[in-house]
Amino acid sequence: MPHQPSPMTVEQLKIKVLQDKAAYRRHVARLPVSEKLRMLEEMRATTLALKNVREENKAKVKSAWTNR
Amino acid sequence: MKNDFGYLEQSEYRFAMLATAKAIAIVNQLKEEGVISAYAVGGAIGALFYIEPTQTQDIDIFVHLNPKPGSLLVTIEPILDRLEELGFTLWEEDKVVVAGWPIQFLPATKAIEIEAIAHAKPEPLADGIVAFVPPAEYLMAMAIDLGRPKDMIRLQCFYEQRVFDPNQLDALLEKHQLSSKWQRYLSQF
Repeated sequence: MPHQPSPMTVEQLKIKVLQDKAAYRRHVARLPVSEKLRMLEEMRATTLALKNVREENKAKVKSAWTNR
Repeated sequence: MKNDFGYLEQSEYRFAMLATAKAIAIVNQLKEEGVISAYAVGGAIGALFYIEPTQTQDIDIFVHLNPKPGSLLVTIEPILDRLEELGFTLWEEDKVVVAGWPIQFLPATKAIEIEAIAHAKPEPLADGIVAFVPPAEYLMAMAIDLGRPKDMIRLQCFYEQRVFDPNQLDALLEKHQLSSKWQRYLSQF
């Protein structure tokens, strides 16, 4: 039988979300440095990829406007 | 196998050497060669040794700069020259790119930075590489001193994770006249 979460008020849910976030952050902080470094490098790779896409799009929009 | 948070357990990761470890290995080489006498990793990479990873685009390296013999001026030129000899010629703004990471060499000019370098200890980073990292209290004091939004976020992480000695931090802040700034920040956490 699937697990049924107990009903909560919105306030209780907000508190639970904050508690879970804090627990996750504590968990990550305690990971070995090499693991945290891997996570940081992944975050950076994503940021750089997004930045490149943004710049490409900016160039496309600019060229579309100048070629009108 | 994934843990409770959906991340792979440590043993599951078997990737190539991390770019950060490669970059720090080059900084260690500069230290071994005597190009820099001592250094301390600051910013997000330094903080990583104590708290969760936070977003960053570069590696901050605080360095002691000694003037060249016969000169009173200090310069980071010898560091940049050696890096160029090693083939690192790519720049991102004012930072030289090493193993994909822009590295910012920051000459330690403030007393707190000079002390942070003196107290930095070699800590295992990854892939058998060590990095010289100051104690958490020094990283916090430097963040309090700078007080940029990203420093505030990092300080809050340090505070919530309780990864510092409050007595040592208080003594350090008192010594460097940063106590009132810290009290102001604390009221926002």
